[in-house]
Amino acid sequence: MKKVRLVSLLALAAASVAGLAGCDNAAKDGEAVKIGLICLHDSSSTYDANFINALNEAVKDLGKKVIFEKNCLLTGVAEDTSCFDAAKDLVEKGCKVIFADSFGHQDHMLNAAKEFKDVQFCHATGTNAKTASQKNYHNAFASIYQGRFLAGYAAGLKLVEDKKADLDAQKALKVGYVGAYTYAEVMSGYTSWFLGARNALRDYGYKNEQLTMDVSFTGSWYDPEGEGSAADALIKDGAVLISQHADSMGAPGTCEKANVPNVTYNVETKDECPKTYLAYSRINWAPYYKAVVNAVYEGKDIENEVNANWTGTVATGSVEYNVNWDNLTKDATKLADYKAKFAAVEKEVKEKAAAKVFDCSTFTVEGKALTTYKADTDGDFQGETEAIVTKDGVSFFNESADASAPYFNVKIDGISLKNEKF
Amino acid sequence: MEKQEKKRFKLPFHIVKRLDMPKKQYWIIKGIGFLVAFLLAGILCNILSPGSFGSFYQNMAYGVYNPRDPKEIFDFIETAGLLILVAFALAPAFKMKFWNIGAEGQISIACLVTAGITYFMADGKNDALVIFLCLFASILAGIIWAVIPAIFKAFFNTNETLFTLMMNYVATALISVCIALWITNGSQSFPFLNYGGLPKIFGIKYLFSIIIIVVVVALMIVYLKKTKHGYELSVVGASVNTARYVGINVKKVIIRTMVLSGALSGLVGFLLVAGHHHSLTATLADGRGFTGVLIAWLGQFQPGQMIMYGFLVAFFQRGSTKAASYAAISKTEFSAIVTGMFFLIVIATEFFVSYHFLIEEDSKLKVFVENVKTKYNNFMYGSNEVNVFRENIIKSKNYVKSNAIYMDQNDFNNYLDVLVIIKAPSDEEVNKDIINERKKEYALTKNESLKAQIKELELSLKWKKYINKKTVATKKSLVKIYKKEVARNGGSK
Amino acid sequence: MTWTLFVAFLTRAIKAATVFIFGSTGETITEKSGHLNMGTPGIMCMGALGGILGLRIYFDIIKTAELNGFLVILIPIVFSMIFAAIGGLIFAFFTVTLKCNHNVTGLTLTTFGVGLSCYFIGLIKTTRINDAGLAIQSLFDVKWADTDFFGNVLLSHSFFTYLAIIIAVLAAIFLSRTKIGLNLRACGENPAAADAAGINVDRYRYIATIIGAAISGLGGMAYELDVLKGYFNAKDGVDAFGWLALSLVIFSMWKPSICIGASFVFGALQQIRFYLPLSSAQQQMFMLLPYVFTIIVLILTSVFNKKNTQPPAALGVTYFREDR
Repeated sequence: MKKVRLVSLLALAAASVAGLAGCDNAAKDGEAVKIGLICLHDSSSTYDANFINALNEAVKDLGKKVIFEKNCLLTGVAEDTSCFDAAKDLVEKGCKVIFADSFGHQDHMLNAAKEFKDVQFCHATGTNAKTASQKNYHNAFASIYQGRFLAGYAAGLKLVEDKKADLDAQKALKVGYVGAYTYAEVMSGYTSWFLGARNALRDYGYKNEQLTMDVSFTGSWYDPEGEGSAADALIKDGAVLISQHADSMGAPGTCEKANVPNVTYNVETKDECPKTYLAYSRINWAPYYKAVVNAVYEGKDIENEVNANWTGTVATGSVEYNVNWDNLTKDATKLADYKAKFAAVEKEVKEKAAAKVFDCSTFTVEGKALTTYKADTDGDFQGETEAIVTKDGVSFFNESADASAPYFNVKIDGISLKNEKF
Repeated sequence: MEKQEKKRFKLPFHIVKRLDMPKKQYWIIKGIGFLVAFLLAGILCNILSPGSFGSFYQNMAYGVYNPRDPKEIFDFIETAGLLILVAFALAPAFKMKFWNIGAEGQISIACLVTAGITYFMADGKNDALVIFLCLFASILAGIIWAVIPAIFKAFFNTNETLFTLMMNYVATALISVCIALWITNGSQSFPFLNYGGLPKIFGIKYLFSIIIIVVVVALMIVYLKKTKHGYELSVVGASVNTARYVGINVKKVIIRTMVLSGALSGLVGFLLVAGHHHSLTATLADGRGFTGVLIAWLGQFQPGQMIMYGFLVAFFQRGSTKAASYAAISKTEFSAIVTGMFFLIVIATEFFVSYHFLIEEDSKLKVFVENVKTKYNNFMYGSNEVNVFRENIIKSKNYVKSNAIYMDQNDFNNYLDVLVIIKAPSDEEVNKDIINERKKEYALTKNESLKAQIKELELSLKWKKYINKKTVATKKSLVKIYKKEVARNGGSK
Repeated sequence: MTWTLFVAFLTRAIKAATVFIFGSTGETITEKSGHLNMGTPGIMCMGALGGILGLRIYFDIIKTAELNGFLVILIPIVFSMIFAAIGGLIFAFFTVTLKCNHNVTGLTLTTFGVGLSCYFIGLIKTTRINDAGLAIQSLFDVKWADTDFFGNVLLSHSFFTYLAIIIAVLAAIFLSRTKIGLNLRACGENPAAADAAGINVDRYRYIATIIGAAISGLGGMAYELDVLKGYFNAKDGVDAFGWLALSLVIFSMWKPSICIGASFVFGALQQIRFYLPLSSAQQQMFMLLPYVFTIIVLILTSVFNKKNTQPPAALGVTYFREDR
């Protein structure tokens, strides 16, 4: 044992002298950019698969500008010091840009940024870049509320199609949503989805009050059993359609078994849930990755070229969504009508963004319209930024304008939380 | 006994326990084990990621010394040090045959306490106070977590393996509860604690922890080897009854040792949070409690060996993680497989160290002893031929010594029987009547040599009755004690 | 909680209990023979791997054809039992033949087994395996009304649930009424006496460990296929069930008949958090409860020390014939 070590050490000593001489991580423009990605789990998790697939897509498009080696994809990196060690590992491998995908990575990525000042650290879903003021550390997110809204619109269309009789009789319908935690990222998601569904109902002449939603939180991002049980409880309690913000197949699986339509997040479940998969939305990170690598390749500052607190939108290609029209209806004329209405809403969302989705005239809080709200845009749990903005005569909650991560955490009427999990 | 032998399926050889194992041979076998594990790990890496055989070994070495960052050697020492500290926490308990597999929970509860205090109290100005408070609280928490099973074992003989195992999961679940209570932003871990951590020394991150570990380990070595407590520990471990007989308060020793065990585990928890991670997750202990069990056991609770195994395991863990990272294999699983394989192989070598295969024909000693037995079985006690006997026995002793590692258990039994037989008359001779006769004779003649004879006869009768019912271990010790008794009573040796 | 939700909760609790029944019954058999198999988490993972692998091979053979309801239950059972039995064999080999310490072997086997299984599960393609999961969900293919108590709670389960209960009942009868069961218990209580009476302690321990492991492995497979409906993932945490199975054995005081009820309690504790409005912290506290209950049972049984509630006397002790 000791002999082997000694021999290896001697061999290494020789190699290391040569190696150290050529070690320089600062990017030179015009030179291919070596990148790395730190993932919380691996591609078997829909959450991380989203990032990994996007990065592979971006790498294909970037061609010669980028180097992404297989061993620079680090998976299973926990949200503790191993993240810092992983970042260090990537720096040693020569990476000039390091991406990370989980909220809990942020403190450690920041520490790594402070230590390796020549490397760019781009952390997705985080909130601390604004206050950290570390030149080589950035946050990114996307205006996923836009995708959710459209997926919700599709859900509304499905309700109009299936439950026309009930709606015509002025009855109220209930939908269910399985979330992980009771905080802004999830609340923004389910609210925008709900508003999309209500919008669809209104477009066919029904009232807001005819749609309510129950939200059940599981207290975990990945808990297949929990998500399955939560979906099951919602269905048994009267929900006729389910959506979720969680990383496992627990809820879709339960919906498929119970034959209840399901709107997913991050993953299209057409193969796994052929009977019930309706629509999905996800963040496409490829535009962001491409923007960052291009900036580094051209030797430009990420601060200026790419928004340090990037929030991609449908327009930038950062928010993707799709509707499984086959599961909506088989009737061709009705389908044409649905598709037309969907296209119209799509256009509006692209043009008006939050003004269309979080239009204050479409929802109430405790019976009244929202006229002022202090949102927390810097992650300190204190609201300090006025989020209600009026433009062109429309008052709306200006989501994702002042920070990359979502900060809509208002409890609107029509949504009832079955529990709260932090 | 013989009836059973006939019924059982007999292999052409049988596996017998070695009586003695020369150190050189022991380490050769162990060394082969390490090399086999090392080789297999490389092969496995190559299977999972073709072409990585060479770089695997390079990266394994980098795990110890990384030329790109020489300071990483302290990472290696700290990794090994923490494992060694856990092993030292467990060794006293295991020596006492108290199977404390609760180290994981004891470490975890200490992590929780340290992280909690730091999170709520540290504000950048009171670092020293926070550190001391955390240290004190961690040790206390570890002690509490360890002492609860100990008390129940001491008073109600509750199975400690199961109790300590359950306490592990209670501890990790408690961490999840506290994270859920205190961290409300959706993260399942504490934020990075910027204050209240152990400071760097000479700019090296883990040096403070390493110094603490070295000091504590040194103290533990002294404790185990030189103090009265350490001695009492071993006696309780060897035999509870012997300990009680000698006057040791077994309950006190159990509880005291577990206090020590828990305190050290608590220290590990403190070092993990304040010295390494500066944060808290439910899985922060990362299996160190269980790995420590393996290290302590493989190191046979000897300080030197435990330290060696600590470094070996750290080498395999860090090396395989680095190798996996460069070979683009999933790190956590590969490291677990490699480390698990290492343990399995080393455990297997334990077998080769303790046992050997004996083929029937090799038992020369058996034949020799049979001859001695049959020839001299009816030997009259007290005759002059006893000297001839003794010579033969001395010869046989040397034979035994030089062939000790090849001796069959049955052979050895026979050898002991011979020892006893030549010391005592044959069955027909020794019985109570003869003893009483001799006693009457003594009462009449007051012949001193008769007195010695009577004592020997009584002893031999007593021992003869016991000998055939006892286990070999007891036989060996009984023969020793018997010999001492004989010597003490003026009998010839 | 409404009646409907209550029925739904009980149904799911029983489904969750299936995994526990398999795990604890298997481990009870092993422990009755004197082996404390701490490799059970690793073995349950290996069972899960086996079941998934078997289905993968099956679906790769039949490609897109209609699946056979019978085969899709039989194949995972056979494969998972084989894989888990191998794990049990390794444990028995190390502890009986190589005479190694039980705890050490068990912990090593867990580390190794979980790592190996998770790695290979991660490599298996998921195509169509959820078809199998959805297909086996209800043995009696009847759609019960949401409020129907008996229909849902008793008759809506998959084959695995009923299999688990049958195995547990059979194990209880076997251990307490048959001669072989009695011999097995003797091996765990007093191997020296058993050996003297002519029982081949080594052979009994080998077989008991292998069979116990095979049954526990079924639990791992039942979790992936039945509870998760075949939507499996490498990080499903099957090993956690292994530790819970170990506690369950203690909790049911080494009696398979109690295992069934105790498993239901554990299953209920695990599921109740989704049917009650609980905060995160309260939810985590429910995860604590199974272990706390087990500790209480452990304390009570040792304090009151009734003969039939004690662990087998020679549990975890390696048996050396020569030491007699």
